[in-house]
Order: sequence, then structure tokens, then C-alpha cells
Amino acid sequence: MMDREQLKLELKQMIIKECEKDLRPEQIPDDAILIGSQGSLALDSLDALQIALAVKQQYGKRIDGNNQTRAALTSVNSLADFILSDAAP
Amino acid sequence: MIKLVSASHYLQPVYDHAALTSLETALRGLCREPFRRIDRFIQLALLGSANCASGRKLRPDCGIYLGSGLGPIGNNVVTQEQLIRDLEIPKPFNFINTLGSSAGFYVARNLGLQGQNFFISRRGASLQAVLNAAMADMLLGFATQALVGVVEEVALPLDAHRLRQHLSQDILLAEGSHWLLLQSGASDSRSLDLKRFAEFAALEGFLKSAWRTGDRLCCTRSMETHAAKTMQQGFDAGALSGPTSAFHDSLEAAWLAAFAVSREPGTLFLVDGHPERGWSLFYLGA
Repeated sequence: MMDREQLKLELKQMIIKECEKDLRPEQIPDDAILIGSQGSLALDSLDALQIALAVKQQYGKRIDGNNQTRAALTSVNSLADFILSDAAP
Repeated sequence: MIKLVSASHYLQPVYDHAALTSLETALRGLCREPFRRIDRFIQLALLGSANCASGRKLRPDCGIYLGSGLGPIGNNVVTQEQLIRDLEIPKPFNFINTLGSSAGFYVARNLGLQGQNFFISRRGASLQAVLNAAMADMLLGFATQALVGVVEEVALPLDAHRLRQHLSQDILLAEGSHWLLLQSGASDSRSLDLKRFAEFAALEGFLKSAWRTGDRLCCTRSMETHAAKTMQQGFDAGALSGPTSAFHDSLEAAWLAAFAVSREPGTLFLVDGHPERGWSLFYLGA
């Protein structure tokens, strides 16, 4: 079983690397909105696609177009929940 | 009359077993904003274009004419490997940057330009292609200023990069970003002209009449070997020394930009053509 705190740290590192943000992991709150102008990270739809592909490659979980999986991209918390869930890859 | 008002010339040999030179520090001082999602090809384009435009206020209608023989080869290799070898969907940033026009977008954004924006990829003749496009647009009034650049990137490993271009493994490779800022009617600047000839003899005749001691002659790689030799034999052999012994696909651009940056006296003649297509002569004069 993957440690949730460790997973969230990995996800933050992945977001920083994939989206080329000049941030440190501790600067991303677990519940910060990731995508859109409301979020402090100011990531856009292209970043969302980049993260979705990285999640698929690293964790084998597919974020597709349906509302349920798309919601996984709301925050680091929701992304961790999605990866740890029993949903089929 | 089209004049050259500024030029920049970046040429960096890439040695075996050495990493590519990092461009990030140089770009930090040249870019108006830190750009995300850019690859090495875009970095090279930003570096050269910003240096060429440095200290000048460009006109908003200034066109961008970017050429390359290989284009964004690094990202193309990554994307093809993801698709074909790994059977994976390429990452969006890699995929988007396989388009050479991405580089033109970032150059325009960095310099605040809204004019024409072209990317032309042509092996062995990218400089001629972009110069033709830029000069035509300027003569037709689509732009009064043109930023003309040629960028060549090296994708590691070097042996694969050489193989891809059918080069011998002992050839020294280079990356380059060579830019010219052209303007209609600018005074006290070098003029850039283009002449076309249907017959080789007419080209030779023109060159003989225009040639002055100290002028330079450059024959493009796409020229037939015998024609290039004929040209070179007819003129001062000393004029043929280039700016480097290293190779990239658009070395003509390195010749032209290096000559422009050096502010040496005389004229540089750049000859290109084929017996069936005719001949063209670009010349950058005093």
C-alpha cells in the first residue's frame, strides 16, 4: 500500500517537473486548485493533459474525459485519492 | 532597397562525450518573461533573435522568417520514440514543439511582434528559403522590417545525429542560431540584394563584373559540385574561408551572419542554384 503523504510529495514533484513551474513542493498546498485561473498555480488545459499522461505513465491510472476522473485533477489531495482508489486503470 | 540593420551569430561546436551548452542563464537576461514548455530549438531561436534585436525598438509589423534544415529535431526524436518504439501517447509539450512554428510564436511573444510569422524547413537551403520569403514580403509591402533567422539544433547522441544526416562519424557538429534584421530604406547600412539568373554563364558574368578584392564567395551545399568548383576556381580562393570547421545543415547562414556581425569591408556573395532551376545570388554589400 502506497503511503499517502509520500504519494502527495511525489505528485507535487511531478507537477513541478512536468509543468516546469519554478516552485518547491512545500509551496503547493494539498488542497490548492491546480487547473484554471482560480488556482495559485495558474495551470491550463495543456498542463492538465501533461499531468494526466504523467499519471498514466507513472501510476498506471488513466484520467479520461468523464467528470469523475477529470475531478481527480482538482488538487493534489484529489489526485492522490484517485491514484489510491480501486478504480480500474 | 533592403538594408541589413542588425545581425547576431551564435555558433557552438558540440564535442563528443560533452553535454550541450546550457542556454538558460543567457536566456534569463534576454527574455521579457520566463517561458515554460520550451525546448532547445526554441531556446536557440529566442537567444539569436533577442541578441539581434537587442537595443532596438522593432516595428510591430516586423515579420519573423525562421528557417531550419532539421527543425526541432530533439523533440521530433523524443516524440517518434514515444509513439513508435514505446507505443505511448507523446506528452503534449513535446508534441506541440515538434512544430517549428512554436519557435516563431515564442520569438514574437518575446519581442512583442504581430507581423508575418513563417517557419520554413528545407534541408541544405533554409537560409535561401527564408531570405526569399522575407525579401518578397518586403518588396510587396507586407512588412517594412523582417527578422530573418536560421536555427540548427543538435540532438544527442551525436553518432545518431550524424547518421540521421548521412555524415561521417568524424565530422565535428555544431548548433547555430543566426539572425538578420532587415529593413526597407534604412540608410548607412549594408544593403542586401537578390538577383536571379537562368543561365550559369550570366551569373558568372555578373559576378566577374561586380567582384572586388576582399569580397567573399559562398556556394551553397545544394549546388551541384561541379558548378560550385567552377565558381570557386574563378575567384579568390582565400575568400572561401568560413566561420567554422564544424558542421550544421545551414552553414550558409553562419557565413552570412558572421560576415554581417564582423563589419568587415567588402561584399559577401552567396550563390545557390541548379542547371534546371536556375541560379540565385544573394549579396550583402557595403
